[in-house]
Amino acid sequence: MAFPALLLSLPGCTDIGSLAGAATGAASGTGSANPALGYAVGIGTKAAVDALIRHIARSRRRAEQDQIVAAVGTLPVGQSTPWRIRHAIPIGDAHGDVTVVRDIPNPLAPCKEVVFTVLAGDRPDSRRGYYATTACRHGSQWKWALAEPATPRWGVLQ
Amino acid sequence: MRALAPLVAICGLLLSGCSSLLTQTGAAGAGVAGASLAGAVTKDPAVTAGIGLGVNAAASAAVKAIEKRVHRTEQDSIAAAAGPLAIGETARWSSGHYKVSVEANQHGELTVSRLIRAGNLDCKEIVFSVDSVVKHKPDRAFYTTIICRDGATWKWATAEPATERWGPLQ
Repeated sequence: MAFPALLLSLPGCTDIGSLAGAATGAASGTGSANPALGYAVGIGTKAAVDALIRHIARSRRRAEQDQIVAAVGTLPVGQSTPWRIRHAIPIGDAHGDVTVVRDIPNPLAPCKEVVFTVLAGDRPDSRRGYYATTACRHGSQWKWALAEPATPRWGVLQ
Repeated sequence: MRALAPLVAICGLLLSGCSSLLTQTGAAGAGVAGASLAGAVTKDPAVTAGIGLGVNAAASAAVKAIEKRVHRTEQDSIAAAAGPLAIGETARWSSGHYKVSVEANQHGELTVSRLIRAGNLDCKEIVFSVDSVVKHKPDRAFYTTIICRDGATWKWATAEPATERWGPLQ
């Protein structure tokens, strides 16, 4: 139904759930004389679509995180390598370089601190940024390891 | 809030992956209950929807507050376990939630990888594992964070990501 439209509008599509909810709520409100029933159908649809969008957005971001840290395992400190994410639906594609800045010596798992750049396009004026994170080996794969912020700093994130 | 109680109880049984369900259905369910109640006493659809939306928003905020409080205890458990350790020493941690909670009980091992000291500041970089069983095999995911000493207690100190990197977090 709204699925292709929903992907096209990623990111910034967090209102889709409300729109879908409003649409189905209005439709069932028309079909039923009971406003509470219309509201119930609408809010139920909103909840379902919101959950779907969060799931899609999170999977896409996980894929990007995996790409950024994929190659750091064999990279010595000070060395860089390019990274790139190409989504099946080519929205939000990005690329850049990832540099290992430090080994994190510890007896539990191989971990590294990395700094990476993100370029959201190939034009000279494409949006870019520098970010730092950590990665640890998880089985045979390197995974993003930066934990969540302290709860007092969650603020509007939740 | 009353409408949330059974959901919280059910979630305690279902545990992992429950929080999104709880946020979504808890708020929606409370909103629907609110709207149904309002629909029973008023024939005005605008008033009904208004009351439903208001209850929905309040329930959503309540669920988020519960999740945050529960998660704070997990962060505190990890920070407390790592606080006394020197570099390279390891210890076990467990989130120690109540039996019925919106989050699963987590446990793992942790170690200190770096001391971060400047003036009065006393902080540590730690690596911790979250141990679980995936497809009948033990699985360990590793994460890093920073903790700082605030008086006698150690607290989680990692700040939020740059707003440009929030993406689907919000």
